[in-house]
Amino acid sequence: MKIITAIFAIFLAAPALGQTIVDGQKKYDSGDYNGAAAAFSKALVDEPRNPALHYDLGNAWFKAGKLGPAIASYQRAFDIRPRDPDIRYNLNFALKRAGEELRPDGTPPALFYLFTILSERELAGLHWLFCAAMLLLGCVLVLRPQRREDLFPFLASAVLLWAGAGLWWGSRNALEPEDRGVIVKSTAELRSGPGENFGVSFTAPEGRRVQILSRSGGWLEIGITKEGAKGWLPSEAVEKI
Amino acid sequence: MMPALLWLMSSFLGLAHAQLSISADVDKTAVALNDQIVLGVTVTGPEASLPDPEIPAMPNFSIYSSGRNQNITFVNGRVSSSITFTYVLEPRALGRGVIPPITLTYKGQQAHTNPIEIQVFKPGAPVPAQQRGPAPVSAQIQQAPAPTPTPSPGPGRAPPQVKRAVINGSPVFVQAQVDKKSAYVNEQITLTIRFCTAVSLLSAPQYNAPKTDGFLAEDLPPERHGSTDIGGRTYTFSEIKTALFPAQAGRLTVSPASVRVQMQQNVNVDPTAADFFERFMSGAFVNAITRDLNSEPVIVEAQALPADGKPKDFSGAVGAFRVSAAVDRSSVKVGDAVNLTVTISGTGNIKAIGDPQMPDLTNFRVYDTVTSLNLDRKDDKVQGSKVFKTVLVPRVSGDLAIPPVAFTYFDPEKKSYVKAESLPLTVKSAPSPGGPAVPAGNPVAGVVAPQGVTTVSEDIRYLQAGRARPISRFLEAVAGAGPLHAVPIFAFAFCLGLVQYRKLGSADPAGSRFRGAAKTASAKIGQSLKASDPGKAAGLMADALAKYLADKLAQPASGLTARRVADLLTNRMPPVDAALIERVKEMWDELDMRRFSPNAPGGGAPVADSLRELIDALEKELKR
Repeated sequence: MKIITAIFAIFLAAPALGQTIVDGQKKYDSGDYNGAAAAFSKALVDEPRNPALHYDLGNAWFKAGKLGPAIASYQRAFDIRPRDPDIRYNLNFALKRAGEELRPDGTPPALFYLFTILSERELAGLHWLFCAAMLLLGCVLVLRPQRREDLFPFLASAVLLWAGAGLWWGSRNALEPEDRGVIVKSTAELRSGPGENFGVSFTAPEGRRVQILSRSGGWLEIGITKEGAKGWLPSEAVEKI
Repeated sequence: MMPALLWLMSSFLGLAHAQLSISADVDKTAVALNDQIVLGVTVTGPEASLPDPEIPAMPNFSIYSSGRNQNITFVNGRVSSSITFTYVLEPRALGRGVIPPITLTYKGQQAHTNPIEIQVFKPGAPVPAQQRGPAPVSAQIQQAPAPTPTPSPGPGRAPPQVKRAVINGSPVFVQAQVDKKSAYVNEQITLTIRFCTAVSLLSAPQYNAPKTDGFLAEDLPPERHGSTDIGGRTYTFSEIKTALFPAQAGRLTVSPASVRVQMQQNVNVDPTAADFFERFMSGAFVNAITRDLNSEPVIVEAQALPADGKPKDFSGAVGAFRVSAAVDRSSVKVGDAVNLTVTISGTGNIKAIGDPQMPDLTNFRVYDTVTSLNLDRKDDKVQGSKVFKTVLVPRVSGDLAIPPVAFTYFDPEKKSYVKAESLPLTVKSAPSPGGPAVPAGNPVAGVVAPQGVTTVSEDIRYLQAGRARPISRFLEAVAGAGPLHAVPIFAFAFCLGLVQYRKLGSADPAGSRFRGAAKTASAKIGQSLKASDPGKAAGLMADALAKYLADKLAQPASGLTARRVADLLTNRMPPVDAALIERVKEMWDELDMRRFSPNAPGGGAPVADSLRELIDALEKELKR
């Protein structure tokens, strides 16, 4: 009975979700960007891994003048579907407003494109898929040792692909730490400690991507890679990606 | 500037590095003794702040300042300005008079105008036609009586007609007044310096303007002259007005203005004195004295502009202004230039007007703005306009809108910030047949790309629809499989274990049979239950028992008999319980009977259960 209810819920929810997205698009077209953002945010509750919705939400925030939330949304869309040219373009466009660029300085464009052509989740999926293929081929090889010569090329390929995907995934993880955020407050003041009683060390513009290093009370210690700066911000000034 | 420029004698000497120049002109070079000459001295240069010229001593003329007029022009960010100083000259003697060279000194360098020769004739005498300009207005005022306060506007002034000099009782004094004691920063305050005299002066008074530190000052020409009654006494007066704009909030002081005068002082004359005729001939009945007259300092409270409600685009303008915008052409082709002229006009410190807030003109290529300033001083108010000219080149075709141009100022009357806007404009832009054609000589020539894609404006891309691709979703699902990632690992481990197990079985076949005997028997018993023929079912059960005992006793199954089994069980070490051996024999016989006797009942579940119980009992007994 529960299964039947769940199936009905899915079928009933799908048109409602589509209508929410259409409402958001209509509001966007009419210039009601805050209304569009609300509609896209609502749709994302049901489809949190939909890159187009994150992208549309980023557009709505950008048009509403909220650069920080826009970059956070574009970044989420990019994390899910990094090959999409529109997502890349808009994320880079917004990042330039915050004094940053999607491609790090000095990185050849082609290399950066290839390095980020797959999302981290896709790389993880490939890693586990090649791992499974390698082990299953290993099972066959163990159970049918007489077919070793036939199976060896496949097994070797699976091992290489597994190792390659693992290295790629690992390096992406190392360069893009899990705990990331975007400054959503205009000209955020970063202090030397977690409280107003600590002095302001430097300021950072809205939309700058940061790494969240630690937490203390309602404060976050963040690091800005580009400038090599580190400081504390109230947690509401940072939107976690 | 001049009513008629009859004669021009100027020196235009550029100061080499500073590019400043000075010129002088007069409205006429022949004048009656009771007439006036207007002298204009113009200093031009590439700076907003220009030095004042040095006016030399002119013994043949009385000279009065009649104000100054400055024009500043901004072109492509470069400033050029000119100041014209106006002086009124009154001849003192008949005959030939000369205006000496006027000097301009700047950073150690000097420039001079050429001397200007003036011919002075008797009043009423015919002035040569070629040297006579229009009669100045002051001539008529000079002849008219002034019984009551009758200030006479214009550059002319009436000479004093008082016959006696009175030193005591303030026959001469200087006043300084402002029209308001409190004003906002950058709001106009009118300072009036009035010099009054009830006595005749022996020479032209020397005026020193007050210091106006903390203010931006603008002269308000012309100098006014007239007469007035003060305490029943007739005074002639001269007035100089200056517009002051407080540059900062706080208590600001206008220092005293001073006037140096030479007056006559009567001395007692004794006709019987021995030196009477000597003094008479030398004119020593009158003594000349010099007096320095000072006005009182004036204090003004300058208020800061309110911080509440101050718009972000407010640039400091205070007064009353309006904005207008116009284009020189309303219909053009793509690539053609349109001149957008934005004019901010009104009353206030025009020089302090900042650039207006230009609208977003993404459909146009926008070029440098040229700024010019027009100052006027009507009704003692500094007013005028600042004009911003911008060249726009349409990038695309269609009806291109130029949104209103906004300008924010502070209105001291309303005590609030006001946003003035021009009317929106529309330019019809037709497609250019040969691409963006730029007219020759146009400042934008060569800037517009002749071919290819031209970026009009940069913006984010439009919305998307759809979901992640299936392959992407599949990979994400694999990545999110969690514990299922261990399945291939366990499978591989199982395979390895299985192979190892098989290896063990092949190395010890008897042991393998011994360990698997019960399982094999159980499987056969299960098969017997599914058999429809009772005899066949009993046969399967008999095979199960025989195979079990053969595996346990390491004997071949074929040819094994009940007796042989009993012997083996009995002789086994440790020996099997006799009762159990008996049960084995009974079961063996039972199954044989059911198997081969046509009338015997089949196997059935009860027999199968009994056989299982027997095998379980043997399992416990036949441990290695």
